[in-house]
Amino acid sequence: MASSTSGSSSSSKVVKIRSSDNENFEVEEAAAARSETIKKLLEDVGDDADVIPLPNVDAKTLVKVMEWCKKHMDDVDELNKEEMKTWDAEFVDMDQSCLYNVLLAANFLNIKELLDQLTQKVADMIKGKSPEEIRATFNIKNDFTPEEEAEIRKQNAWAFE
Amino acid sequence: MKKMKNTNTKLPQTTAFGLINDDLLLNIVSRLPAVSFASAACVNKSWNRICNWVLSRPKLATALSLNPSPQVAMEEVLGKVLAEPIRPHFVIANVSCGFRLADVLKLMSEKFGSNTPIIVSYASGIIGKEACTNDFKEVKLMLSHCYDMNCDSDEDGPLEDANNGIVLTVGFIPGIKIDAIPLLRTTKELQDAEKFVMDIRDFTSSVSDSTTPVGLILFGEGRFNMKPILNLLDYAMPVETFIVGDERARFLYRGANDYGNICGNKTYFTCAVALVFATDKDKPCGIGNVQFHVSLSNGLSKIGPKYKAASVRVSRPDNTTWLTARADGHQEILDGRRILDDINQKLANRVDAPDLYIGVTTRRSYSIGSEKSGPLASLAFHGVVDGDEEYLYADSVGIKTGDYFQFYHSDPAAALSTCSDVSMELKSLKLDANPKKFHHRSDFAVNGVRKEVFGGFIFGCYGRGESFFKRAGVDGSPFLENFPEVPLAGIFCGGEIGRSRSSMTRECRKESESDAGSCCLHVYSTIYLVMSYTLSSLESRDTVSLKES
Repeated sequence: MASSTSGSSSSSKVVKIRSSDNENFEVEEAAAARSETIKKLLEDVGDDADVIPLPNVDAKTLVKVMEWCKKHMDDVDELNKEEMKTWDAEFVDMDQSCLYNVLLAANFLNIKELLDQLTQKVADMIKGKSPEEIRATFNIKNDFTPEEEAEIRKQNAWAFE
Repeated sequence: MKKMKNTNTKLPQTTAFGLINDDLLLNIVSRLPAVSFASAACVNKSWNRICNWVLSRPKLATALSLNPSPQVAMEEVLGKVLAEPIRPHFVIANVSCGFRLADVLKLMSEKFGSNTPIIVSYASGIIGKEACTNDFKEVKLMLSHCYDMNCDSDEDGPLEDANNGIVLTVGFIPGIKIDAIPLLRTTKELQDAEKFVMDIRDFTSSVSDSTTPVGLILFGEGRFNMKPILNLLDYAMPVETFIVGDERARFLYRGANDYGNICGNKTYFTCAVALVFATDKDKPCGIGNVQFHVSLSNGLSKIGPKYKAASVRVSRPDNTTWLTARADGHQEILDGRRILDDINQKLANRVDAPDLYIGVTTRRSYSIGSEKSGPLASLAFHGVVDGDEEYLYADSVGIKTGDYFQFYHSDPAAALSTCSDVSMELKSLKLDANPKKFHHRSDFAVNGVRKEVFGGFIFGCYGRGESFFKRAGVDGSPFLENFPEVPLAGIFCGGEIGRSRSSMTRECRKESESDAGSCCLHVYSTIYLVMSYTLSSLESRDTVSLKES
């Protein structure tokens, strides 16, 4: 799509983005445009753009997201599909707080493929766990009354036998 | 170490996960397999609300496997149907005779819990999407010793052969209560059938505001004559109640409230089991309505004049009826040879040597318990066995002197034409469901699409399929042409049961008022049960969230 318009040229265009904690980054436009949000902003402001502010994403997270975008800048051909898969698997293997921040950033920046990978990663973390284990893993408080919990357990009892 | 970990990671992560909004959590839990999804629903209130939103609409999950090893085949289909969120409200597994029914039922009970009604049965063929490839298949399976009732004998053990196969169907239908109700045979046949009707009514009234179920999926035991039972059901159930099924299946079942009663009760012989669908009187508001549509593709054509049975003898040992008859409007009594010569002459220019049946119209009186009895005209098909200078021999019993009958023959051309009628009928269902163009499922509410077809089940005659039509996939095509993405499962069976008030069968009925009588048990037909869901007027994403929080 848009990412390929400038991606191949040797002197690819660079855009500036700014994190919520006021750090500026220079990123190749083709990479930044993986984000539908940034792409739209770029289209709106045209070439006059100075710096694109991203008030919802801190610098640490933005570095991570742009790392992914850079890797996924060009279309993947059959040859490096496997390599990309391994890279992606390693990429999403990050500590939990980082994972949620990147997930939220991917959501805000509207990067569908990254969002898919991250939500799948969280789903994989839930897989095979009991409700107690899920609460422990994600540090979630159980706010059911015992009666409510019993009723909801009953509804889902088939899975716990 | 542990403490370190706690202080280092837990605090920030609490705040971070708290930021995960409903949309993201919805995206995450939608990716879970069914069992983990059940866990997620029990985590806390907001997870539960999101999970209920994901599973707010009915869903059918189905998969087919032709793996020669029953064990592997079962794992494949289980893996597939449990790969996505679902809460099992009923389970149907149809298998080839390489499987042992008891093993299948045991495994299904383990996987789907002891409170889920489960029916496992032998089928002559299976229809559905293959678990591994997602390819649509209509396959005949090996028929062999299926019918000699040996659910716990382990004479040969599981056979491994190329015709092995299983199709597994799991349904989640909120707003409908489902249970498996057996027809147990004692000594008095008709009373058993009456009790069956009462058991169905009792279950229905225990969960519903009415005694009338939405519908029944029936499996009859192969060696038992289902005609009188079906006539009684037809008489007892209003025409709104759909009745579909397989007359000749060997089956095992498990009801929602059976405790350890895996093989049915030993003191009785289970002649049939009905999966009964009844409207839940405690249906939460905001849940829309489920509709079941039954369509029929008839594969028979009429031939010859109408006859009236003159003398009728019943031969109990081989379960046949010996007849003589008069052609309508004539006085002369005809023997079997005369009748068959006449019919064969009319069939002479056909090359496909069709199967012959007589369709007998019976007018009988029925009653349930102490209720006032009433008349019912019904059309029953009997295979024509032979004819000689004395009698015409027809299989099965239930014909009386004075009953009218007419010859029918299997006819691929008629079947093809009725298949395209069914396709048109389902198309109107689709247009009804989707007045604009095709939208993604999630656009359902947003674009004013009120109705969606979410699943289908087919009962096809074993005589049909590829060998009958000379091409593959005809029986599934009316559904697939209209709903290529919607889960569809089905079986080829020995006697397909189907009754509804949909237009096809209504046509049957219209004719019946003057002529033939209603028909529940068909030959050479394919029955389509199509399930659709209409949104409640309340239902939208916002109201669901509001209501729950």
